[in-house]
Amino acid sequence: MTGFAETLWAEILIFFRPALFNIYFAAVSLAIGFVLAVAVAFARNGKNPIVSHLAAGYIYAFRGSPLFIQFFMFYSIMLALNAVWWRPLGISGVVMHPLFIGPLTLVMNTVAYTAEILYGALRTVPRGELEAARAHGMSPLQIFRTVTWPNMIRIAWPAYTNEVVFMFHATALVYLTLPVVGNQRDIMNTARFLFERDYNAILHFSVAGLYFLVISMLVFFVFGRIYERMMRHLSVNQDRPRLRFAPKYIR
Amino acid sequence: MQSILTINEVHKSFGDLEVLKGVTLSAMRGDVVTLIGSSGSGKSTLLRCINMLEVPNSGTVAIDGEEIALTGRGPDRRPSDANQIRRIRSEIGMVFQSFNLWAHMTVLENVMEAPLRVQKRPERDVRADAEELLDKVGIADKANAFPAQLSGGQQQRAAIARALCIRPKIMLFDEPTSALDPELEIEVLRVIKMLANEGRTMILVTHDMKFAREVADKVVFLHQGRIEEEGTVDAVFSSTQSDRLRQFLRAADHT
Ligand SMILES: Nc1ncnc2c1ncn2[C@@H]1O[C@H](COP(=O)(O)OP(=O)(O)O)[C@@H](O)[C@H]1O
Ligand SMILES: [Mg+2]
Repeated sequence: MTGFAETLWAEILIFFRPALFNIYFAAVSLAIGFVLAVAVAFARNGKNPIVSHLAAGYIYAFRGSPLFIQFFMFYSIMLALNAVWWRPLGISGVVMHPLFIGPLTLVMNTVAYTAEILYGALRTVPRGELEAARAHGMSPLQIFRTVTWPNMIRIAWPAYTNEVVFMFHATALVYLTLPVVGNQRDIMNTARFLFERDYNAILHFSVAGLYFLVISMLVFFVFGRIYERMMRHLSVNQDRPRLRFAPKYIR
Repeated sequence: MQSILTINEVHKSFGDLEVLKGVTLSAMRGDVVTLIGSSGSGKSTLLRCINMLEVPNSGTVAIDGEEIALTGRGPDRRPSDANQIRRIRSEIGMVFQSFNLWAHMTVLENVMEAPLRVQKRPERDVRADAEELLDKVGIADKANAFPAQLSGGQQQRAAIARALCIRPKIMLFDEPTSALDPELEIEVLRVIKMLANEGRTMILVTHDMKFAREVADKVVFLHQGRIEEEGTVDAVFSSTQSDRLRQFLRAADHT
């Protein structure tokens, strides 16, 4: 039994460094993606019909096609451009690096999903609250700060939490498409690498899965606490609003 | 004496529906004007034209002698000077039928928000003002509560305090008690009456004829987008020649 525990512990340690790559991919993509998604959501919700349609088209394209295909397609395009653009410009090493292309592809994808979430939220910001802000002489920026943003983020939070967890899971696709550089391996790639050595599928893939599971639970927990805090203004007595999660595992 | 509010020949349409068909109305400083009329007669729209929440298709609105600058024609008409419209709005307090408090902010934060952010007054001043106003409307103990934790009557009184805290020249009320249960209505009406007695300038839309009669210096009866009758309480309620107004008052009596 101690033998098994030791093996398991050793395995868990092995996956620690690879997990950092998944965390890196998710964190960078989500941070950049969120900012861009706010812009796309506002573009989608805006009065200008051309801008709104462009935003809608972007969202539709990236939500309508599998992420897996987006990875392959985008990587192929980047490869094709490598000879004509990146290498002559001398930026091939950076631009073609998985640590660059990985987040780039994920950003394009999460922008679409997050923008759709935020756009939906934007449309349900209470009209009366907006009107009160206008009636008090607030500028568009002040209205955004006082009413739009606080409402939007609260409405969007449960769905966005699922998006964060999904993005983290989606990082498993990065090295399925992109080449491994040196020993820069993520969880998924490490599991496959170890599996090919000793065919111990159960051990390697369950520990890999365990990492995804534990980190996801951590995200749910932290985001759930933030949500409770954000929604405390609705807690009349004890009936606090709680997050309900329904993650989508396929897209 | 100069009038503090002048509405001149205001027309307003929504698409093909002409809601206001040339309304001219003025109020002197300290006047309490009550606006009555059946549902759909354009009372809310008229009130919202005063602070340009709705922009009239034609006609003008002047506050304290200053005409609100508008540009464009018909449905494309809009305020031409963003600074002017914001300044004028921040001199007009508005109280809505559905309170429209900012739900994620405490009562005190609601009351302090516009004076701090729009009028850029110092926080200490604003806080003192806000606390005094909450005391005045009788919800000092709810300063740190959130709107959802208050009764409807308390929420509306918070909204009144919020409107008062900008030190408005004019207060607009759009059926402030019609979303409330009768027993909660009383506390809000008491506050509004107190404000009327202080000599504040108010334009009040109400379906409560008894209350309209009690507080008004001037009563305006709107019918299908036109002013059908206006005058003192006596002139309008007792000695009107208008059949429509009599009919309206008879119907209102039975509700
Ligand atoms: N934003 C709007 N868009 C379209 N129609 C509107 C709008 N606001 C009001 N109306 C219409 O204008 C008419 C007058 O409305 P309103 O001013 O709210 O009347 P009142 O307050 O006297 O009941 C109604 O027929 C209403 O449906
Ligand atoms: Mg109305």
